[in-house]
Amino acid sequence: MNLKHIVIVALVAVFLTGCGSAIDHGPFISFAASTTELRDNADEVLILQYNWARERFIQETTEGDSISEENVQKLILENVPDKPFAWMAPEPQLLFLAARQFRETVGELNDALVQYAELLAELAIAGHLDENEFKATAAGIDSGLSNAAMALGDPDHNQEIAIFSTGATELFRQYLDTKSKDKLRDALNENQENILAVSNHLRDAMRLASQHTFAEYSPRSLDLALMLTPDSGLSNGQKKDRVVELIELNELLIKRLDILRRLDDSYRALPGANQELARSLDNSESGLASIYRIRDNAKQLQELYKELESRSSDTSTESNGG
Amino acid sequence: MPVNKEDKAAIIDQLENARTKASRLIISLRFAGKVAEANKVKQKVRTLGGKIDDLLAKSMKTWSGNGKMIIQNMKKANQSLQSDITEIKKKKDMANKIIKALGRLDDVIDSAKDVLGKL
Repeated sequence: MNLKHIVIVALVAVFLTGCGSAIDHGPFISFAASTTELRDNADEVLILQYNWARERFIQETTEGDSISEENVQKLILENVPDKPFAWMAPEPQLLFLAARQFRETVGELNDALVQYAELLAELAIAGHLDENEFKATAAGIDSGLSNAAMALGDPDHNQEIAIFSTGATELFRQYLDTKSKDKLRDALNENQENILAVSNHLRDAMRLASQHTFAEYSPRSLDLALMLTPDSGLSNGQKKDRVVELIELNELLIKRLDILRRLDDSYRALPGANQELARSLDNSESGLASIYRIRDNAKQLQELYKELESRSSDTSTESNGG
Repeated sequence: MPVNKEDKAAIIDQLENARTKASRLIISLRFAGKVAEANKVKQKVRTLGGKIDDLLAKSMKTWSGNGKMIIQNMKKANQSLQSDITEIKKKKDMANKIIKALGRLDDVIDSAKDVLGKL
């Protein structure tokens, strides 16, 4: 079920009851919308990272006397026996290939989060799921999450990661039976630690992405800086152009780090958002600061992406013109 | 003993920091007219960059190893590199400082290889 479907169900539910649902589903809808935006924003920046790494690999591999055999070998992918849709590359993988898999894995974790939020919204709005449908959906979310978490790796704790704890699953089942707000609230509270674990996993991913950003920036900035030394043979005009490029590269780094910082902040707000959903069931006037924080970050991120896009098209126009 | 998340991230941070310091060293050497020495350091920076890429690629999947000692060693190497750069800028005992700086970069690269070997 997607968000549009949930909103339609919500409107129909409100229309049929005349006075709205006993549960204020606004926070649940907002939470589901926020997680969707979070997923899309994270994916967008990880695509940029992949493209940057790919471009650098091509540049570095083909410059100089010859391409190293090691890099050529690493470019050849292999099938995985008994896994018809899998592929593998020699270890350690080329960074751009790892960045691609990393993006997919982070996407799977985010997908699980979105599905969780949408399931909650559906439960809060209509509660028309039967027990079997709920169990199948929850198991599907946990399975996807577990696979993604294993792929990302968690050397500190060899534990499986899941959104739905055993206790929470039972409480959700009881909620479906009774439609008691108390059961839904208890289920959300029971899940709190699991949401915290998912949030921490995704924050780790954002930190790794920021390190990757620097790894892409450093060689590029050095190349430009070396063109500014006295022995570079460049004219003053050419040096001026390189200075401009270096400043633009710095601005690009700062923007990407800002994007990752905002994503990190949104993931940090996730556990608070889950708590706010639980509290909203007690008191419809309760605050939704964490949910709004994720939403506001999403708006800011869209602005940053627009700036990055316009910069990219400016550069492209300049290079075409030049 | 497995590396915890903080150590894992700190090792990559230290390596990146070493790369930036080594890049500054190259720039200082080029401004000082020491092109051959700058090229030597550049070659090492390239090797170090390759190790950082490998570590990031591994880290994007999963990795473990013993991190605390490596972080300490790299922190020391980075501090020494910074003082080498300062001395080279002042043009004090340049030849000796360049040799020392190259040695420190080798230590950092060895540390990175050490981490990769434990993955």
